[in-house]
Amino acid sequence: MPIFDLSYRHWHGTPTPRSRRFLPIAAAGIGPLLRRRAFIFWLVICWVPALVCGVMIYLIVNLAQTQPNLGSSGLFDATEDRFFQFFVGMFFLYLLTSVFAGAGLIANDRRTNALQIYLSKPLRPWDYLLGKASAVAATLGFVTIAPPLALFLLRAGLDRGTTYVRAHPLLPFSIIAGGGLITITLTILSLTVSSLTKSSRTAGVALVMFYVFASALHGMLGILFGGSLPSVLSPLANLQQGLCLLFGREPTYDVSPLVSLAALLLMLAICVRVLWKRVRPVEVVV
Amino acid sequence: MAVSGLRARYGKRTVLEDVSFTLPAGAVGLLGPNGAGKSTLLRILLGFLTPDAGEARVLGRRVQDDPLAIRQMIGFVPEVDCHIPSMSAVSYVAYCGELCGMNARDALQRAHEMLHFVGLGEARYRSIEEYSTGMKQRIKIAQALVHDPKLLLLDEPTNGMDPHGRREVLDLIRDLSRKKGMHVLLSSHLLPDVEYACSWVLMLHQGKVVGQGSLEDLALRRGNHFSVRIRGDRDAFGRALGADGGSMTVAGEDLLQVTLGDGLGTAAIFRAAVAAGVQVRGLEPTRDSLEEIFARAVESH
Repeated sequence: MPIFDLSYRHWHGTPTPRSRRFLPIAAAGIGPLLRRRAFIFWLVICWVPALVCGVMIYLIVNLAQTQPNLGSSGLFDATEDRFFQFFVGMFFLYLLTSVFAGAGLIANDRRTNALQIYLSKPLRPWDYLLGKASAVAATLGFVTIAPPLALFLLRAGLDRGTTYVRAHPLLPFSIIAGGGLITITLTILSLTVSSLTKSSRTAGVALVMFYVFASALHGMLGILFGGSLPSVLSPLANLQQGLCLLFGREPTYDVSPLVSLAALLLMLAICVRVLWKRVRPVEVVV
Repeated sequence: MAVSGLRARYGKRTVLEDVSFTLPAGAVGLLGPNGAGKSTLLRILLGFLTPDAGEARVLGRRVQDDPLAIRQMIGFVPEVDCHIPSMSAVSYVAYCGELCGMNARDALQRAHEMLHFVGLGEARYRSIEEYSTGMKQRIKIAQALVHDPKLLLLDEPTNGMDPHGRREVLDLIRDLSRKKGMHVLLSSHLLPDVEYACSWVLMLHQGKVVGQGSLEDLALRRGNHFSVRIRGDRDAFGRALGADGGSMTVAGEDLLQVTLGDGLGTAAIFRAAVAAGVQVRGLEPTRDSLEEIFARAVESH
């Protein structure tokens, strides 16, 4: 039977608004990750520190009357300082999550020439990038923002009154802003590296190497020339400085956190520029 | 579709030079050898590339002004092998529907229909990465049709297909343009494909338009050439024609290709037949093949 005999019907539906076109891309980015058991296992691992801290909070709150020194014993007592340490301690897990979630997203599309398919649809390159970024950000947010926020809510919930919340009124905002800063930075970095190659494996390795190299460069230049200014070359150091600002701590490095944030912003601007250049339906080789 | 004064360059190399045309509805073949500028033209029509000069209008809209609105009405079948990784065929086509603004339910339903339509119904749950070349060509057509476009742009859609599959795809393209009311622009360097599926051609050569028109008109352009079947003395017929300023060549057992002098009509053939005492058993204007039309168009430029 000729193949066209199975007929063709016209579609008379109304297209969804263009502003929502990134949503299927985001869903298609997250779906395959969540179908991988190894990734679910990884997310569970990322929540383990939060679970441990949760137990500590429970102990501190419930045993405070009989063991008044528990709060100063090094256990997680849900203060700004502890949340800062929590974020910094989780950096490694954040990095690997961004590698798992973001390294292949654009690289695989480039390998299979899928960009031509995406951009032949009524989509702008920004819609495509927003969709991909949403997929990575949602995954990262589950690891960066959700655990500390859950810890804050746990601590506030265990409090019999509102003493804790009143003592730390800005803490939830600091947590969201800190987690958001990490999420946005790692999302953009992972997508940028992903856009530079056609192999997810290469992108993953390159991403890890980038962090290692930037930190090593920062360390070496610090040793050679002294001072903390080279810290602006390391995205992780800049993130740490940003967290210091958000959690009201003394900066870790002897550089103004604003300078660190400006360096971070500059790096992200360069990344966005690279992404914009790489996400094209056709590559014209002159 | 209308294009005027279009010029495109890759660096210093001019790919399209002062390209202007207006295409009618239906199936149009974009014909030209490799490197003629066909794919560049399609990319400009899709808004992938910005021309250095000139403008293009597709379905009444200026491409440079609103490429997204145009892409909403266009389905594109790229030349290169491309798909979205880690998806089954049906998920892929449904996903493409969602990208075009269809809700998930409609997109999935249409995906099943389109996969049946292109002959991949049985293989729709398989991963695209397992597909053969021919199947990949078909799924490219399915993803382009899922949102029911008004115009289908196909860039070398039969590349890598076996003769049977190629004929099926060409039948499908023909069916879409003739029975489903869809406009089709088929870019190909394979002349028989264009000849089979299209009724109008636009010929590009070295970035310039070297000819355009309906296949019917182009094939009949040489009005003083005829294919004549006779019974009788061919030589006598040839001599009689020669006396009237015509000539003939033998094209088959009883088939002759006759060229008449300027200003002469078919009456000259019958006069020659009477004079030579032969019987005319068939007479029709000679139809050029697309290959001949294209060669003539290139020569004249």
